[in-house]
Amino acid sequence: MVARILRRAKDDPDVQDCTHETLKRVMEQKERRHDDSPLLPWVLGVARHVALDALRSEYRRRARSGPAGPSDGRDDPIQLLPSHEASPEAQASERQRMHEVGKALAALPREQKEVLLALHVEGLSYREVAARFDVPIGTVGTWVLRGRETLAQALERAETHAARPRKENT
Amino acid sequence: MTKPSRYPRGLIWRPDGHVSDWVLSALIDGQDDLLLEDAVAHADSCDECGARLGLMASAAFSVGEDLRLWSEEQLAERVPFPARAFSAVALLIALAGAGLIAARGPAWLELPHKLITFWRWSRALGPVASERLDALTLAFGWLGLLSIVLGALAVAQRSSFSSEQGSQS
Repeated sequence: MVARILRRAKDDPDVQDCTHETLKRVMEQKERRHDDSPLLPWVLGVARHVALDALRSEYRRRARSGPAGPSDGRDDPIQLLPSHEASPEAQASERQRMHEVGKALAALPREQKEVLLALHVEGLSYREVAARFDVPIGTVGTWVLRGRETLAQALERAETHAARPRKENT
Repeated sequence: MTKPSRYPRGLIWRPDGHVSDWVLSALIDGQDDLLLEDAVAHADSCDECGARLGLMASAAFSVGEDLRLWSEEQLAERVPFPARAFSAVALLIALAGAGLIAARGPAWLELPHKLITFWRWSRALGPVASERLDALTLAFGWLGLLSIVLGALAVAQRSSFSSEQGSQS
């Protein structure tokens, strides 16, 4: 389950870490379970949560550290000096990405855009979003699903478009 | 009529027996309580649904982080009006003014009368000043020109004097 969610091999260190974390949580929370429901679905649920948390952390870390520049810095000694600032290329690339995000968001239907921001930026639950917009929970699910799909496709297209001239130059 | 607090059954299952994208999307967002237990159990135990969950989760987290960063950037660009600082300064000025009024005592009672007098003087002197303004501008212009001519004459005289001295020696 963890390997499937992380999309890695079963012996990958991250998968192993998540499996250990799952077992740890299961052992910790086992005593607190009061109902007689089967153990396996519950353990699988814990594993899913752990794997999704790990994947979310990875994307957060990647987003905060910014995109990698065109050079890995092995040839340039200046690049080896410790620095917390992203390179000018990385900053430009990040600005471009944010511009694309803004453009893709503007192209979304208003309700999908607002629901995605409420969910990802404000951290509201589906029920809270449904109450805010006064719509059924299924509608919220549809807006989230469609909005995320459209946004992901638009950003992927923009990324492919941006990568093409870079490849042609190299 | 109260709205159902869970996903309707029609949104949960696909015709091929696997859970729908709605279910996987809700699981990614940690909204397990919206789903029926059998759908969650299926998503957790089915290889195909697990793989779809991983794929969708990657896209969702990537979009989520982009949205968070975009939102932070928008907030950073929008510099808020420093209302608190302005209010604090206005309050300080008002307090200082009140203190001065209290310190000066009855002298401040004359302020309205003094303001009216100042206003009358301004109104009386205004037209005279504007009439004189043209003459003043002209006088300053001539004075400037005169000083330039005098300066040039002084420089010329000094250079001819020094050249005469040079020819005598």
